[in-house]
Amino acid sequence: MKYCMKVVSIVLVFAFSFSLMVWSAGQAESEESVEITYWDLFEPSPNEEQPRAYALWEAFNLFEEKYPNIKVKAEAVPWGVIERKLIPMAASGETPDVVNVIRGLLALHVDAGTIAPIDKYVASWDSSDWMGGWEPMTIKGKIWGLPAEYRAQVMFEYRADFLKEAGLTVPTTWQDLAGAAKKLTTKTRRGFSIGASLKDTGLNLNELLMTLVWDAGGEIFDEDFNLLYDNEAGLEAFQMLYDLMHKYHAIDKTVLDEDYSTIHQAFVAGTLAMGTISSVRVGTIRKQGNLGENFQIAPLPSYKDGGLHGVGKPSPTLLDGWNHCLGKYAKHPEEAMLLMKWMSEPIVKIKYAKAGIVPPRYSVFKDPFFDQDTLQVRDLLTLKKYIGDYGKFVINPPWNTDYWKLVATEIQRMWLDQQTPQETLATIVKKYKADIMK
Amino acid sequence: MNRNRQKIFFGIGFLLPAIVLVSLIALYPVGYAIHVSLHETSYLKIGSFVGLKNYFTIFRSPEVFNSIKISCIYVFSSLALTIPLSVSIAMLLNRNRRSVNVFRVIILLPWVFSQCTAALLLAWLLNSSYGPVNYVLFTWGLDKINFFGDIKYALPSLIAVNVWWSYPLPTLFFLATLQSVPKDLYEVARIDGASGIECFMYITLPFLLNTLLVVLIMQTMLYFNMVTLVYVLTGGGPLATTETLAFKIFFETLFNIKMGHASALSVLLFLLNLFFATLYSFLLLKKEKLY
Repeated sequence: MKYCMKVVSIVLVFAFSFSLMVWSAGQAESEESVEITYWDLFEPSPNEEQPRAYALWEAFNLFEEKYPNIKVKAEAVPWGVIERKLIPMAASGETPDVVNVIRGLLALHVDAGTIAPIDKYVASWDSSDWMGGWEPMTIKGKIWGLPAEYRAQVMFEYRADFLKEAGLTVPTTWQDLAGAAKKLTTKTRRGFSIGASLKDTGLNLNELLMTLVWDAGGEIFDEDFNLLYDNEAGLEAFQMLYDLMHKYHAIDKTVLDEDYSTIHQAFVAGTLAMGTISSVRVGTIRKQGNLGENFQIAPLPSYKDGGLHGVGKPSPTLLDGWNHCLGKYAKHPEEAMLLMKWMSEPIVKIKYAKAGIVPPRYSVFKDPFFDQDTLQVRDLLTLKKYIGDYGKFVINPPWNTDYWKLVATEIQRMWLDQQTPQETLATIVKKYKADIMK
Repeated sequence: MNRNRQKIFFGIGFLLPAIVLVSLIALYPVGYAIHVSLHETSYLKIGSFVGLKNYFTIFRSPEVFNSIKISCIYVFSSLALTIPLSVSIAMLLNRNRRSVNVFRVIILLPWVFSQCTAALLLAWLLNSSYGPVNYVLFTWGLDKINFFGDIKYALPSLIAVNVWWSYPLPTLFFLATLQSVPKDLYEVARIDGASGIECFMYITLPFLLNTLLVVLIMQTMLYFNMVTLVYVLTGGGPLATTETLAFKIFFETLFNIKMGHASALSVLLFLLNLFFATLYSFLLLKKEKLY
């Protein structure tokens, strides 16, 4: 018995010492290396069939080779969930080190205290290589992140095969578009659609409205988020939306059930000839519908009498996209900034370009990849020119979803002939000031 | 007397863990929601006490009254369709025939789908642009129907989808009850010359009353609190014609992050649920006494 007890004691002492050694080694190891948390839409993956996940995987591998003491722990968070997850986390004093934030919701994140300004880190950087410089990321004089990509959030997209069949060219004015839409409409196909459903909080419709206001010479918000289109430009925009349905009959009431997803699916199914959705959907639509050259993009049509850039020039488009932001409570902000800087390097951006994502930096376009004459490269160069020459951005207020919903509901009311464009504009301005603006 | 007291204390002692658990899960969130609704909030931070200010704000809003109206239409229309449908199907399934088992599986299939899956499926089937239902209408020479984009059809379509998705569970409840009804009561009634309707009214219905109470309370709460179908199918539109109170709360909480406002609306919804649960209990238990 005593002998057994001795053996057991010796074994326990060894086991304890061994555990202590392993734990100490772990501690020593963790003191040398740092782990930073990174939120993205995608989980990095070595599967080349998922281009964006693959680009992320390659980027992280190269980063960890360059900085062996920094490990990146990536977490995939769906785009609709980021705010719902991040804002409560920040309220309890925690955030990931780097998080992807969509531009449209940047002010919400600033207001909710989830992200930190990065002025001190980028002060010495040359912003001229970035499309739009730092302005799109600047709110109240501070810079809140680095663009990961740019997109034309409102882009004219069409089935080239249907237009060719009907003997039509790509319309450059809304009036031409209306004519084309009528010719392209059959019993099983609509000529043109826009997303006006509240399923996406009226986002698609609001984005189109912005481009119409800009093209009419107006602006959307000032620095304090007061509405600026309570004028001729705003009225012209609302009148055009009204005319698209009631004068030109380019759209019908089915648009009240349309959003990004249904327009996307309608293009794939061949039940839609033309539409306005984000440029980021192009690759997926082509792939899902096996459409190839039959699905094309073009700049947005403009007003017949000339828009912001003159007669015959396209309408401005909404510049949007995802951005790398520093978490407000980042545990390793210096290392996080190294990762953010790395993710914006041309060597990484070209990988995303191969996945169909428009790089936010001009220098990336010097890569030999862009010398190829492929559909994807042509699209990227078209977008680079369109965004570069005609892209405008907006800083949405933190209460954007209430505002978007208000605008979409009032425009629906206008389309259902319950109010005129003037009344619609007046109601939006009144309700925004009284009920929504903080 | 001491023995009685002992029994009472033992009883409370055994019940206490369950009471504590239920209080934590059910009563604490309600209490916390009331607490938040009485304060100013900024995102998830609770600020100063403002009393009933959030309640005054919601009661001054025509949109809230619209939501309450839409919720009531949604709930009671769904109940008016689901309960008779469930009872009828349960009675059909209660027959002792070989083929009944196959029908039981088919009829209970909607229950297998989650709300989200059901909503996505019906959104595709009923889509006005590429949905198969509209394609069939088109091939029959009929006009397409904009099920979820037309203010005339959006709420009825939503109710129809809800009834389709939610009828299986009440059907199961009613079927279980019907199977406990002694068959010889029906034989005796038929011998006495009772018609089918009289058998239903005087034999079947009294047995179903308790189950009906449970189903009514359960389904009323389910329908009042339902968000997924509304969110996926219509987003509360068009023109807020499908914006139920539960959806409004969801929107205020997760999109606008106005916790004070959303909490006040939640308390309102809780009171609505409590009112109807109490009303059903009172009416149906009164009816039971008559039998």
